[in-house]
Amino acid sequence: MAERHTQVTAIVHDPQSSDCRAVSQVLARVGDKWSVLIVSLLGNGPRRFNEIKRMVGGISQRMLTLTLRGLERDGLVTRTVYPTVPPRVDYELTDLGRSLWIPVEALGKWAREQQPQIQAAQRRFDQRSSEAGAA
Amino acid sequence: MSTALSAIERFSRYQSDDAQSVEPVHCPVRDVLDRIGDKWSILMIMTLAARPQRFSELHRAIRDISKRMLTQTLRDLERDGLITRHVFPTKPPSVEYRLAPLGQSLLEPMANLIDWADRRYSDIHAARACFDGATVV
Repeated sequence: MAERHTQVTAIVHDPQSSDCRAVSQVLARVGDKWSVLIVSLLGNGPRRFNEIKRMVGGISQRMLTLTLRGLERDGLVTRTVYPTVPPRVDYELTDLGRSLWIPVEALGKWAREQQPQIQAAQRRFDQRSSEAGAA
Repeated sequence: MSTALSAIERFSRYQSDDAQSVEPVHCPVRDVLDRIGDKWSILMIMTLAARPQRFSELHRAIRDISKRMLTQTLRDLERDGLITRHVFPTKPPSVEYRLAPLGQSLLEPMANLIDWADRRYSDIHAARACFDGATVV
């Protein structure tokens, strides 16, 4: 554990360097719940706007539009319009997006595995807080 | 890779099951992603990976976070069991934040994401410039 610890800290950059600011900007995109979920589900292949909306659940039309536009701008997804009536719009991961899918999926796996521990921690915290509030 | 593929299949199934349920907000994976899919939380955990830090040290390390947001993020991370808060009875009392074992277990998957951001940010910046150039009217 201690060794892994050192390894991880080695990639943390000096916060004042421009590199770090750039990485920070990228993290603002990938460190966003909706982006993470969308990249994760597009890993299975292209999806239409409404399919994504249904699969993500709880995302507003506007937020989904903004997130997809942000992902497209970052070169992570492509948007393809098919000239059908009504027009069909597909979103698909680019090569860059597929390379992001790998670490994103690893995070998703962690989230699924650790979720019971996190919920238990939340219950303990809330109990401590309510006890402190009552005291 | 087959493990990853089966994981995404499970995740997608989960997502589609979830889409049919009444309250997608209760999706447990979503709940966890609310935290770890947050820029400030990621930066905070990576900063605490180096060593325990005081509030002011964290604020210096992540300078563009507001004090209010820093307080809230630390509280949320503590509530999720990812970090612990230690108060020392000095005058004035000093408060130190440390990664909890659960937070430690997040380092490796998170480091992979940071590593990706580090390796590919130039591609992303190039894509942004291209997109912005293409959409200028």
